[in-house]
Amino acid sequence: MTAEDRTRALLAAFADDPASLTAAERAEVEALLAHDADARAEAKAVRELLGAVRDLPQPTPPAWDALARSIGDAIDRAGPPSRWARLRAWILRPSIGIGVACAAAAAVGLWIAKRPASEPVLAHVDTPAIDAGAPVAPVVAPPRLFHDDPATAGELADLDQLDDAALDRLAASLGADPVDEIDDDNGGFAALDHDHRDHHAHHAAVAAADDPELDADSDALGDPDLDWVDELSDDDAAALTQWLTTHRSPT
Amino acid sequence: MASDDRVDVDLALVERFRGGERAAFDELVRRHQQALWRMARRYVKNDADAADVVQQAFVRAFRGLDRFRAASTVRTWLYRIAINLALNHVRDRAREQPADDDELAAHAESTRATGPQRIIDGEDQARLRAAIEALPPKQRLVLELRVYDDLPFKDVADLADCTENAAKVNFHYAVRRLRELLGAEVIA
Repeated sequence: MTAEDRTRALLAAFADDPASLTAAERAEVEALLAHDADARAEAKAVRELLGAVRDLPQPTPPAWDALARSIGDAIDRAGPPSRWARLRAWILRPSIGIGVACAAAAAVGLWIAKRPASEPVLAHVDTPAIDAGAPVAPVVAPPRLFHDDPATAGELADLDQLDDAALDRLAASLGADPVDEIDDDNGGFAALDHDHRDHHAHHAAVAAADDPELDADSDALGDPDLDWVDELSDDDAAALTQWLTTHRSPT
Repeated sequence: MASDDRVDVDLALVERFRGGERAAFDELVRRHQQALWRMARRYVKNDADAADVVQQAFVRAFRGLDRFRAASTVRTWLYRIAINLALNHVRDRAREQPADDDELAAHAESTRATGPQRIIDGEDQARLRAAIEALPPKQRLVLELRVYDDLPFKDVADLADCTENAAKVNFHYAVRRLRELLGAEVIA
């Protein structure tokens, strides 16, 4: 809309009814009329035209009471809105619609927050077997520590139920001396402390083996005495080779 | 103000109706049926069709009053329903039988003067009426709602689905178009 269009629009509205404009718009038009004779002539022509439009003959009105009765009868025939129509009207109210949308969004958000985390999808990689022909080491059940029901996580083990033989087997598998008796004063942890130290030594050796900074001759691996191999008979050497073949680690 | 009083009365009637008082709706009918009939009669060809439009408008209002949210006045809401029905009626009739100039002239003759004939004679009245009916729909709607229904531009804009400034510009274009169609001699 150009500035002239706007001015002419205000002038037409002013000519029809000055009260239809805002105070600022009225002031603008009055300022124009005060110094512009063409604007005054146009306002006069618009006023006369609109007067002619208003004076056009209007249709003869009907009998209003009869019309009101016919409307009432039509409403009675149509009946009240159905329950579904009322429900639909209620649902379609903006406030209700916004509320339903918010509730749905909250429900979806809650579902997303509560659902179990999905397993990370890892790409399947076919790793080549290091030694496909190597025998698989048998799965050995852990030694039974208790005569009766074993202690579960979080429970304190009942030391009276400990199976001494099983403890010996456990100590042997850890490279420790057999447990002759439990040092009750130390809560039975003396032997475990000893085992713990050996365990650390074992881990140090493994770590050294994995560390490229350390070579195979380092002190961390020790210096194994293999002279006894030279003293084996041929039969014993063949038996040892056979045993090593069958007890070879899969890795 | 009278206008505010009318709004308050209408809203009170709506609340009473929602409270189950059917007579409150009958009162709304009595208050607005004349304006709706005159508006509808400007679009449809005869009094009976205008009455049908008004009847349908009130039936729809009755069944849809739950949806009235007071975003506009009750009067504007009723006008909107009636205008839509009237325009639908005109559209349906135009499909059935296109209007011709004779029908427009007959329409002008069938009307009865209710005001002073101080400016133009009968022939010019027919020309003026034909010119109004030839206006683009939105310009005609804005002009008639202002001139015949005395609606403020705000309500006119609401019914014409435009801004208040756009309603004023449409009003200006309608006046300018009428002056072009009629020439200077009609409004002498």
